[in-house]
Order: sequence, then structure tokens, then C-alpha cells
Amino acid sequence: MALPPGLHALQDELLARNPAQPSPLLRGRLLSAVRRELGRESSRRMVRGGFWSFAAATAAAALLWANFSMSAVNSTDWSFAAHGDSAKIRETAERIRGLLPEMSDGDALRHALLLHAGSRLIMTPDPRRPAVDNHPMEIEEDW
Amino acid sequence: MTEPPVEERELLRDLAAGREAAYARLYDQYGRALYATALRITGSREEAEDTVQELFTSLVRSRRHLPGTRNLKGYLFASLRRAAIRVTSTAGPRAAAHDATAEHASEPDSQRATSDRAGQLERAVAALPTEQREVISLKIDGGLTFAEIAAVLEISPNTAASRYRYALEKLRALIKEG
Repeated sequence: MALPPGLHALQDELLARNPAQPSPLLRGRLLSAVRRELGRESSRRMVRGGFWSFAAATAAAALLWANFSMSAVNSTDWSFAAHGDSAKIRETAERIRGLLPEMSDGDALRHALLLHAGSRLIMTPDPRRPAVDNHPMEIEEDW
Repeated sequence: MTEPPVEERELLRDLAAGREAAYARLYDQYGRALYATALRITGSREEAEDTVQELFTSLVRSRRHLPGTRNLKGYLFASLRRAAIRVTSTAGPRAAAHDATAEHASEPDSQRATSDRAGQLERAVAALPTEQREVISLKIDGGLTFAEIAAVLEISPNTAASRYRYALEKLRALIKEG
């Protein structure tokens, strides 16, 4: 921007004058304030970080507890056989084992218990029926 | 919009990382101009120092946004203006209306002749309306371009330039009167 000569001289005069000087102590005071603010921020971050660490630890503990609970429930032997008709259940289990030799004793017993409880939740061959009935789709050839 | 120079980008990165040395460097580079501008806006040495301090603490608080700054100087002076408003609005009534004009009173006699003229200039600048005083201060004390002044004051560069010219004319008239 081109200024008229009079205004240009005034601008030069303004530029030439000694600018106001801050107190020599200002630099130190200001850097202390900066340090304080940086420290306050990092402590705020630590508090925030502490909360999230606590939340994460609580969530992890809850998940671990749920996992162990399920595991404990699945692995617990409730000894139902001792209270029921144990001889019949054992016999059924043996028949299951006879039909499915690859099945473990524990699984055979569990299936026997379920069968005696009248449950049909798990599809298993019925060991009490004759073996031929286990193949109802057998085709009769009449030619 | 052009990228800032490499040194400025490094400085902005260090400021954003919260390195105290970067804030010291920033003060060494811009502290004097910022103080002079703050003094012109607030009219009080104490409030000018508080304003510069307030600016630096607010920079620490908002430092995460600094790497995106295109013009550090413009950003600093715009923040300084906001800091000055905060400081002057919270401070009580001042005892001395304009410390800037009183600065020359304690100078020795040898400097008195030139100082008289300087004092006259200071008084005239202090008597300018706020808008004109701001533009004079940003241009003379801050060394900002009209584009930078426009960004700081949120006006167009043409308005900044014409406001500066009116301010100089008013200043000349005040000096003639005084």
C-alpha cells in the first residue's frame, strides 16, 4: 500500500522509536507458568489413565470370573447317579458304550442320565431298542 | 495456502509435544513484539505481562492443534488479542490509565528532546480509537502484514489497509493538535 509522503514519514517515526520492553523477570515467570500448566496436564492425564486402568482391570476380572464359573459348572461331577436308580443308569451307560465304544465313560454316563430323566435334547441312538430299528430307512428289495 | 517454513514446522511440533525449551524459543522470538502489542491494547504494563502469560498458558492447553497452524505469527497475535480481552475483563479498574505513555517520564535529560517527541507520539497513539490503535500496534509493534492483520481482526485485507491509513491520518492530526 502506497502511503502519501507525510504519512510515510510518520510511519517511519513510529517504526524507529524504541518499542516497550517487558520486565526481564517476565521470561522466567512465564516459563514457570508453562511448566506448571504442563505438569497439571500430565497429572490430569494420569488421573484419567488411572480410571481407565481400573475399569479395564475390573472388566478383565469379571470376564475371568465368568469364564471360570462356566468351566467349573461344566467340569463338576454332581454325582446324580448316586441318588437315582444307579444300577439301571449304569446298565444303560454300558449299553451306550457297547454301541459307541469310542465314547468315554463320563459321556456315556451323562447320556444315560439324560435318557433316564426323559430328556430328548440330545440326539443319540436309543440303546434299548433292537439294533435293526436303528436303521428305519432300510429299503426292502422285492424283485 | 503455503506451508510454513521448516523451522516453524519444527517449532510447532515441539510446542505440540509440550517441550518447555520450545516455549522459551517462542518467547525469545516473539515475546517483545507480543508484549508491545499487549501494552498497546491494554494500556497497562501489568496487564500486558499478564496477557502474554495468559497467551502462553492457553497455548499449552491447546497445543495439540498447533501442528495444523499455517501462520504461527498470525495465530499468536489473534490469541494475544483474545487473551487481552480475557485479562482486561477480569482485572479491576486500573490506577494508571496508560503506562505506555508514562514510560518516558523517567528518562535522563540527554534523551529528553527525542523523548518529548516519542512521548507525544505515544500519547497520540493512546488517544486513538481502539480499532485504529489495534491496527497500528499489529503493524508497527507486531510487524504483521495486512493479510495477517486481516486474519487476526477477522476483516478483509483491504479494510485492514484502509483502517491503518485512517489511523495514521488521525495520529497526524492528534500530534498537530497536541
